[in-house]
Amino acid sequence: MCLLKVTGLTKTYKNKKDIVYALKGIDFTIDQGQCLGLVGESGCGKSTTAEIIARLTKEDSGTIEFNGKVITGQKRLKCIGKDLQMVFQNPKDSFDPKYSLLDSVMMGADSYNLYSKTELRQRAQELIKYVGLKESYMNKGIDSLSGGECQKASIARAVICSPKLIIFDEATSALDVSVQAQIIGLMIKLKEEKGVSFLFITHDLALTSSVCDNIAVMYSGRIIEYGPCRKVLKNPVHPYTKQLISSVLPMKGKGEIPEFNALRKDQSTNCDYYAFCPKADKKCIEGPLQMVQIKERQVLCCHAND
Amino acid sequence: MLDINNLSVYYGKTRVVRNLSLKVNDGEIVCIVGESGCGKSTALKSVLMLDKNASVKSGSIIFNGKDITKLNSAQVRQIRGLEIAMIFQNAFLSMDPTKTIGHLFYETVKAHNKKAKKEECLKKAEDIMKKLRLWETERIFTSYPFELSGGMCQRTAIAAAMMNTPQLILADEPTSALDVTAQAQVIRLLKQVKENYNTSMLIVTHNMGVVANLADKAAVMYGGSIMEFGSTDDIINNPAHPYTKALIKAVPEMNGKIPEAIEGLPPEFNDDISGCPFAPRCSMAKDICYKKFPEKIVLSENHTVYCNCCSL
Repeated sequence: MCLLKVTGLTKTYKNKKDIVYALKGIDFTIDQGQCLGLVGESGCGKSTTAEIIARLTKEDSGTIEFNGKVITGQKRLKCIGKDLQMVFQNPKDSFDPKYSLLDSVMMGADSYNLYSKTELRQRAQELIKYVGLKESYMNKGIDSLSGGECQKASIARAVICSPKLIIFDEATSALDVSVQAQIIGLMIKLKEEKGVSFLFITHDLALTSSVCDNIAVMYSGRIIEYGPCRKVLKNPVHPYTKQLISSVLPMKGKGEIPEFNALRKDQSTNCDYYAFCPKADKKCIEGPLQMVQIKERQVLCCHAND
Repeated sequence: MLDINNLSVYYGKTRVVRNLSLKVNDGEIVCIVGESGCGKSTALKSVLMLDKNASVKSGSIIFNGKDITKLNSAQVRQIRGLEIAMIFQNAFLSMDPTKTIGHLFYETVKAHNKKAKKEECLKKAEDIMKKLRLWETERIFTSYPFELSGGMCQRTAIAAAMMNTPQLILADEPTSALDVTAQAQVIRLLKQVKENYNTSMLIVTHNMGVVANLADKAAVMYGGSIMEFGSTDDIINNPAHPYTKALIKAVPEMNGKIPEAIEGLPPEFNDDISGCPFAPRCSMAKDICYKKFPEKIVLSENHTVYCNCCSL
């Protein structure tokens, strides 16, 4: 069943001088119990997409259907309520340092009146154990926890009202590998045991391969390749996806690192990758921009694959 | 070239680096790898005495026959930037926002040579940039740091560090604040620096990919001590210490393998550790591991490990 459906999402940020086109038409879906990885470099619009879905930012145009209801144009709590939660990159900043761990986790359900007080407390205690935090931490201040522990606490807070979708906005980027692996393990556990869906935003391609079912590669406000995660990573089609994958430093065998310089002058083309693309030609300047289906995946019209 | 011997560094009464010994030879890239809070940055900064709060209580840092720990601040200043250059995690924050990049190159030289002329410096900078395959030099020189992207800032900082052709470059997490593509470019650039100038490097990182692709030798640090030291090949393909093994297994890979977590959390420095710092998280730990710091075991000429559970 389709849980989240995003169609034609656009967003611009304006300041006095110029307009930044942050999103230029984003389409994707997430099914119940699935994990979608949204990858790309900084500034490509990953976080903007997440913020719009979580109703923290207002979109310019486009519609979002969540759980069968259109949520665009509505206020956050009313339309999504407990079903959509978010975990942020810097866990310490997303907590009020005045409160204890138990209170902070309980606060996740404050606005929804779902449980009685004793029930809520019991749930919070269970979840703190579930995410792998020690029981002795319950009454410790949240600011005395380390980064990894805090991130686990923020997952417990997100899960407390049994959401259907959790958005991880670079939630593992600030963590060490050993703790990062703990969080990935926790995500897999939540997916399998509680059937939670995820929108996993990251710039670490290797991480997506272990948790995500589907992957969407973003470049300059557009999704340029979208399909089953392992297939996309193994046989990328779009030149940018290829370049992104070749930039991941391999553990085994010293690969030659490709150079990434602008190959030609930027022109006003439909394709934003034109200046960097090793395969661009005249067609790229004139051709229209649309998603095309190649096997099971969708690729932003790229003539390199004709 | 650089020989660190039994170095112990304290913040007040807390010991952050414990009996660290490390050698960097001519033209060699050595990486210190470890999780946050293991003391790797403190160890690196103490080479140039950059942290005023840190005090070296024992040990020596021998650079070209001089013991840096015994020099006064003016003498250390002579070495900084001229013989040993430093690259920081966030290059953007280490640049003066009110001056152009061109001025930064000039300043790097002027700090050690008052008579330096700006035109000559810029010409030299251009040569260096070209040698390192960084284009658009003119645009870069006239830009302010905030006009460049994070990756470009970092690469410019590396080029600026080469202005005085130092013998040794220290880099503190040079790729951590960057995207994958920018990361790959910085690694590529550092390789080119080594190829062109045969500069030695001591690099601190937590990214095993950086170690695998850049380093000749790697030291794995945990809880303030070095746990294992050896050639990159030994560390990645033939690790001996349980921590190194666990750390490598925790690195996500592109083939969809689920990374294995290390149970527990890294130690804090206010825990007074007398035994092996990794013992509480180690699956092989014996009683002795909690009591006594393990002896050095030499596995081969270049491969040493500190562990009670490893044997020859």
